[in-house]
Amino acid sequence: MTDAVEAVGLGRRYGRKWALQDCTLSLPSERVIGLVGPNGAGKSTLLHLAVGLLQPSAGEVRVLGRDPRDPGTLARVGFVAQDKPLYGHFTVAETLRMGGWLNPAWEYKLAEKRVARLDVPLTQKVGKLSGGQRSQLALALALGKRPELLLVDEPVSDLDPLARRDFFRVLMEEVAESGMTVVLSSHLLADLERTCEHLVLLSRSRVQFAGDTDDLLARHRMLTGPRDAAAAIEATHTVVQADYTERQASVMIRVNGPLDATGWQVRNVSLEDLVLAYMAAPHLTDDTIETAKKEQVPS
Amino acid sequence: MIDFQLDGHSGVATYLQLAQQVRHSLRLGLLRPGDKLPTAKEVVAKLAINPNTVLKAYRELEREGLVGARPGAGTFVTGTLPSGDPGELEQLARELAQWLRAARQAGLGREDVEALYGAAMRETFQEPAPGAQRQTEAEKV
Amino acid sequence: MIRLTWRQARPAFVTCAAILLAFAAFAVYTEREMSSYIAANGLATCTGGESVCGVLGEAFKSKFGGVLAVSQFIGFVPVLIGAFWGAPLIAREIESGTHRLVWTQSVGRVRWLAVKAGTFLLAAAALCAILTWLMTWWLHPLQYVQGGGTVGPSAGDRISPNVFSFMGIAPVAYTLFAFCVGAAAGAVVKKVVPAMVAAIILYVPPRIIMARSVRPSVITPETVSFPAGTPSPRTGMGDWILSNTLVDAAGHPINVDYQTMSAACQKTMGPSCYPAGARLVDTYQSLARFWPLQFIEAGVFVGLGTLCLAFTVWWTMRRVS
Repeated sequence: MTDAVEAVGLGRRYGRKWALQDCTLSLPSERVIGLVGPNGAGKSTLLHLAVGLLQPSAGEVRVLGRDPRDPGTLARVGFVAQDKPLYGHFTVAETLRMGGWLNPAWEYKLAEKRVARLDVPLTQKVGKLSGGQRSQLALALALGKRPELLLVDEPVSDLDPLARRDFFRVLMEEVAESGMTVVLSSHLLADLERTCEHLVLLSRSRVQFAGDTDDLLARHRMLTGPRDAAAAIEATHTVVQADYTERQASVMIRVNGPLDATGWQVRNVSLEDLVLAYMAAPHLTDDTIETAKKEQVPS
Repeated sequence: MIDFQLDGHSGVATYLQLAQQVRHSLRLGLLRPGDKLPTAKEVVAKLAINPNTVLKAYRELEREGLVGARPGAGTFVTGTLPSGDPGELEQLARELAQWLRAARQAGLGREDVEALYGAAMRETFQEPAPGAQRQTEAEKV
Repeated sequence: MIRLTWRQARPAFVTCAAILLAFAAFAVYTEREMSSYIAANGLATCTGGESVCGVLGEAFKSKFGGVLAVSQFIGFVPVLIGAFWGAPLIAREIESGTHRLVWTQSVGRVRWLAVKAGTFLLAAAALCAILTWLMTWWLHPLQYVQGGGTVGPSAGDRISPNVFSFMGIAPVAYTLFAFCVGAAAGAVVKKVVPAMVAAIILYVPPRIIMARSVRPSVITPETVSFPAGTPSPRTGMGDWILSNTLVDAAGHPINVDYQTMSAACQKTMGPSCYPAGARLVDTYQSLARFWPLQFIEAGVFVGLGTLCLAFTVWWTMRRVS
C-alpha cells in the first residue's frame, strides 16, 4: 500500500531560515498519526507542504503517492488549518454549501447532520460561533469531501477540555466508519495520546523519531534504584533521561535487549513523559539509537 | 455491557488497558460467555479514542480465546477466566486471605504488604524484559 | 466555484448596483433640467456672437456648475475599483487565512483565481461601460456650451484631454488595468490596506505618462498654418490643439514681444500687428482621430492589465504562502 505521506529530504526555507530541513519520513496509511514537537519545529510547514500550500525549497513530498499540487490530489485530501479559517460573514448553512461548491463529491446531508449535533442554528453567522463550534464546523467541512487522508494542524490547542473531547470524538467516529488516514499535529502530546497509534516527533525541523505508540511504550521503562548499579543498565540500554541523587538513580531507558533489572523498581512510562524526555534530548534520534545498538550487539 | 475507563498516565498502552478491563470483568463474573462487547464505534463515542485501538484490544482477546467475532453481529465473549480448576482457585484464595490476616496481626500496614507482595511477584514470575515478550505485557502490570 | 465567488462578491455588487441606480436617477433628472433650460433660453440656436452667447453660456454654467462637478467623479471609478475590488481579491483571503481553506479544496488554486478574478473583471468592465454610456448621454446637452465660451451647435471637444478619458472605451480599459494592478499588489503585499495604497500609487503614473507623452504623438499630429492674426480655418472643428507656433515667411519660428505692441494691437491682435508674412502653425489631433486614439489607449491599458494579471497568476501559483 502506498504511504499516506512520504517525504524525502524535504525542506522549506523562508529567506535564510529553514522552517523544515532534511525531513525524510513516511506516514503509513489507514492510521491515526500524531505529529508532535515543540512550537517552531516545522509541523505546520510540513503539513502545508503536504497539501500543496507551500512548495518545497528542497527535496520532495508525495501524498497518496502523488504530487500534492496535482489537481486530483486535493480532492482526496482534507485539511483543517490551524486557526480554522472560515468566512465569518457566511452562515453555517452557507459554509456547508460552500463545501459543495468547491468539491464535486460533497455530502451536504452528512455534513449538516454532523453540524446539527452542535446545537447551532444553520442560520447562525460563522463569526459568532464559539471556538469549539468553529472547530467542529471546519472539521465537518473537511470531512464532507470524504477524504482518504485528513490533515489537521493543531486542532485543539485553543479549545477547552470539553470541546477537545468532542472534537476528537467526532473525528474518531469518522475514522471508525471510513478508515481514513488522519495526521494530527500538536505541540502538546496530551491532546494526541488517546487517538494516535503512530507518532512522529519533529524537533528543530527534523524528525527525531517515528514509530507506533504501542511499540514506543513497550520499549521504554523508567527505572529507579541504586546509583552505583546505574552504569550496568546504561551500558546496554539507551538512556533517554537520567536523574541522580547521592545514592539513587532514576533513568528512563529505551530497552535494547533483555533487561536485567534486579534490585530496580521498574515502571511503565506514559507517552507524555516519553515525548517530553525526548524533546529535552534532541540529540537522541532514531538514527543515533540504531547506531548505538549496532555498536553494542557485536559481542 | 462493559463500560471501559482509561487511565491516561499509567504508561500502559490503551489497547492493553481495554483488554485488561475485559479480563478483569471476566474474573469478577461481570462478563459471561455470550455477552456482547461494545462495537468500536460505541467505545470511540464514549472515550474519543482511536477505533483501531479497540479493534487491536479485541484481536488480542481473540488470540487468547476469550472473545470471538461474529461477522456482522459484533464481538462476543466466548471464554472464561480464570482458567484454573475452580476448587483449586477457591483454596488459593482462602489461603491468601489467611496470609493477609496473619500479616496484619504481625503489624504490617497496607504498603508493607504491597512491597512484600510485589517483591514476591517479581521473584516468582521473573519479570520478562519488555519488548522481548510483548504479548504477555498485560499480565505483569 | 462560481457560486462561492458570487456569494463573496454579492455585497460589493449590490452596493455598486445601488449606487449606479441612484446615479442614473440623478442623471435622468438633471438631464431633463439642462435640456429644458437650453431649449427655453435658446442656447442651442444662439447666433448672437460671443458677447450674447457667452453670457448665456456663463449663466448656464453657474446654474449647473454643481451638477457638472459630479461628472468628474467617473475619473475615480477605476481607482476605486482597483482599491476596493482588485487589492482585496487575494490579499483579504491571505490576511484572514482563508486561502488555506479554499486552496485546499478540489477546485484548486488555478480555477479559484480564474473564476474569482474573471467574475470581478467582468463586473468591473460592465459597471464602467454602463457608467460611461450614461455619462455620455447625460452630458450631451453640454455640446452646446463649449469650454471657450462659445455657444451653439459644435463638434464638441471629445478629443480634448479633459473629456477624452471619460468617453468611449478608454474608461473600461483603465478600470481593467486598475483592477489587475490592485490584484497584483494584493498578491505581493498580502495585506489589504497597504495593497489598496499600492494599487492607487501604481495606477496613476501610467495614466499620466500615457496622457502627457504617448497620446499626443502616438499618431503623428497634423499641422495647419494660417496668417497670424486671422482665425484658424479649423475653428470649431473640435481639434485637440497640441501647440501653436509663430513663424516668419521662411518658416522659421519667431518671437513677438507683446509688451512692445501698441495698445490697440494688444487688444485685437489683428494681422497688422504681426511682422509681414508671419503665420501661425497649429499642431493638432483632429476629431476624426478620436476612435483610433481610443483604441490605442484602450489597447495599451488592457495590455498592461493583462501583464499584471499574468504576474498575479504566476505569483499566486509560485510564491504565495
